[in-house]
Amino acid sequence: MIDSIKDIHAFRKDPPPAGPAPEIRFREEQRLLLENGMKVILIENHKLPRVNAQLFIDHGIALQGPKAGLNEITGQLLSCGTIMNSKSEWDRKVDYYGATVHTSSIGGYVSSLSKHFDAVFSLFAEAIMYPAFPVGEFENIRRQQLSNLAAQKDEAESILSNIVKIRVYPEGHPYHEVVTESSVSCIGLEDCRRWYDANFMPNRSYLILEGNISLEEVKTLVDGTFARWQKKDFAEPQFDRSIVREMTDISFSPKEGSVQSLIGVSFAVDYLPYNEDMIAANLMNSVLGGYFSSRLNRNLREDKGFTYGISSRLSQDEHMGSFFTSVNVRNEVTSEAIGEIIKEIRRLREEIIPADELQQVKNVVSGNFSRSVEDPRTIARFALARWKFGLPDDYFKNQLIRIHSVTAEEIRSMAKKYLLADNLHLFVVGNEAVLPQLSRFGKIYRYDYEGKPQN
Amino acid sequence: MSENNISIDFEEYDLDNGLHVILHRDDTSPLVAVSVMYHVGSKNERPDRTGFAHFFEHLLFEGSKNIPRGQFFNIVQNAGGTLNANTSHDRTFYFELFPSNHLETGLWLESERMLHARVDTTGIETQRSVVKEERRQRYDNRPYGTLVEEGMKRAFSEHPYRWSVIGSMAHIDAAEESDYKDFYAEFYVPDNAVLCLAGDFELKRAKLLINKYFATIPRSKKEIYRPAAAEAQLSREIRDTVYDNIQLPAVVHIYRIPAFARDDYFAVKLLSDILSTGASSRLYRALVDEQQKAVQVGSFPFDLEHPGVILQFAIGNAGIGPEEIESAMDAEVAKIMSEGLSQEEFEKLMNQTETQLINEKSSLLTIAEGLSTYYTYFRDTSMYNRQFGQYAALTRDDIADAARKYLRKENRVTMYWLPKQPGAVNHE
Repeated sequence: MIDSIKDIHAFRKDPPPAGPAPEIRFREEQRLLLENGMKVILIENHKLPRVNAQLFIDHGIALQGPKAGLNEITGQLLSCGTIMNSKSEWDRKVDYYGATVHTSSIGGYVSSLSKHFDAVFSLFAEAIMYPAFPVGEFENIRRQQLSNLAAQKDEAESILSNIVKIRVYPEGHPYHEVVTESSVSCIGLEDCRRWYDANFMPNRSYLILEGNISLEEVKTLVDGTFARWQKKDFAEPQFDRSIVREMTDISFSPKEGSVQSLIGVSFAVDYLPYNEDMIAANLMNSVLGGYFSSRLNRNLREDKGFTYGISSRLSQDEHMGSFFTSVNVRNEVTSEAIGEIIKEIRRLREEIIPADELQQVKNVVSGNFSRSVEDPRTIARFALARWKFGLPDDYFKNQLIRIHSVTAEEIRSMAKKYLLADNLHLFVVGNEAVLPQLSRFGKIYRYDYEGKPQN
Repeated sequence: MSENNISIDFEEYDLDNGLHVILHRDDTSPLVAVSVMYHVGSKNERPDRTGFAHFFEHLLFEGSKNIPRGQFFNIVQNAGGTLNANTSHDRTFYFELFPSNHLETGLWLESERMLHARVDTTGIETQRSVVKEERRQRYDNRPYGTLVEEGMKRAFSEHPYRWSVIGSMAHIDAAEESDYKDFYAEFYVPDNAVLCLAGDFELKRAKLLINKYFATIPRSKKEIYRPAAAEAQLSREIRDTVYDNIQLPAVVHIYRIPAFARDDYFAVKLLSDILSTGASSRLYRALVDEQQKAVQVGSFPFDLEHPGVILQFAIGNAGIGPEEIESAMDAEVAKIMSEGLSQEEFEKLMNQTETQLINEKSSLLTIAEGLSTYYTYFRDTSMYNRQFGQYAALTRDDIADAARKYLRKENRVTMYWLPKQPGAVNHE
């Protein structure tokens, strides 16, 4: 009797075999180059009756000095009134169509059902090309920004982001700049207008559309809007990308009443977008902190129960790349958690990764890749990257093969190249009570919530 | 409104053991979503074991008789898939998204979880710590993080909605071996679950596989605990102040409303949208743009199986007091009650609703969750395709009526959420 019950479940013992992997289909993109230099990319996708478009203005980065935050305020101000419509009129029209539109310092985003897209796209173009910079709206945005900055005193993530900027990036680099209450107070309406004039132009813009729309329809839309935008002269500012290494140090910022420490580990790296290391370096970071069973998450969450979760990222960047990981842990285990993170980084630099772990990471990364290409927004991102960086047509299509060809030795050499054993910047935002745990890691620097040195 | 009829095709049936199966085919991408919704959430918990349903969700990733600890994640990841789960007051939802050749892997995993999940002491102790860190990270250490918890505690005095899904750390610590066994035996049974496949699969093969993996799982042996739905209405406004580690004061109004998709729910949802969806919404325009009293406003009806709540809040600009914020909020609500809404606003609501319902259909997992939810709460999956009709049948008056019926002071909890001051103590 008991045996027969066992028997009916015997087939469950091992994972079932999988059929042959489905073929990945890449959607094709279409391109248009307007006379004013604007680059247009279309990914047709007729599954749902909707369209979205993203505008990316590739104006690079610039120092804002005492007016840090100028770019963000200007980006927000574009959708706060145009030459044709007051803010409340414009909002009323956008909302009427059930649309989503927003603007930012690097362009904007618009999305709606296809049947409303003509009207909504015109409102979007209006905000980008003909902003009115109304003084009342400017004052309101600035006031809100000041309130939000004051609120940062209690937001560990914002504080960490501020002190990382200060310690990881050198003075004189735009990534070093922190938006503060005093910098926002220095910004005037004329600054916004000037910043907009210098940075918004068709000849640095990419317009990427995705959805239920044809190239002919896109041409008509663009003819009535962005094709009329005037070209401007532009010289992208350049910044020194050299990195100076120091001994490992630790920066602390107090946050009152914290029941957890927010720990950060970060450093700058020389890692240009789509360089020859990208696939192997990405796999290497995945081993460390790029998926659920990564070494960091297995160690700090599944083995020790220190945290709800941890991940890490290795960011490629034209202006300066970086490594970053952060984790919330209960106060008592702050220094132990930092020690484990450092240990995992060093282990990856020194030891060869076991074959089954490497295979698992390849499966994870190729699985993520295959799933992501089903999303037309991924294809749009690839198309933009290929155009901007001049990558070959088959660059992304070959990615799966390249993922599977990476060796264990390459993972270690990527770890040696992009991770540091020493010279780390460590960060803790949290309760004063954890401070005595930290001195063993190096010199302690104290900062306030905006990243101003404190003694 | 020609595009509002995007209907999701599905087939459904029951296995002999009571497991309900929903199949939605869509072969646009070679992917398949495998999900199981169990009809258990925090409202099925004992009052001295709050947080248990969610804690248990964590434990059910630990493994099974045939899956060693930690392997659940590895198997999905090695198959190039992704997985997660979430717990609400009313149900627990587990899901994976796989390349379509791994359909059987997904069915095997979910059937293992339903038939003979297994948790060892190490797993229990680890997840206990993880869940406590989750609570600290998402609630205790985050500005305004306990707002919903404090609100529900005041909005209900009998119904189990009065405690939060994350629950109490002391209760999680108190959980014992017998609690796990009992909870699993009572709630993780096929007749308390909905299996949904959405995506690229062959119908005939899928049915055979479902039968292979699930048909032999025994149905429940005891009665499943379901709390009573009704708690009497509030008799008067409840007002309170909570002190938190914050800089900007907030005002919170929580009104009792009907259950998800029942009675006036759809009218209340539109009422909520007119108050806070988009920059032209009433609360946003008045408080953030015109009067500049707030940096943020919001209004959310909770989609609860039993009569629940709508939560409205405004976070003040620096230097603005809670009384000033509250009177501005009340003025907007009063205006809807007395003047109703314009035809243009009504058309806006319809356009916003249509857009939202179409956007939901871009994700296989969202569709699976929607179909499963309607079956779980109503035993009527087809309601998922009738949602737009429910909204379109409403009139401008219905929305103003809902304001008059539900957004009354006597029907609400008001909380002032204020920066901690030396000497201030929170009520318990």
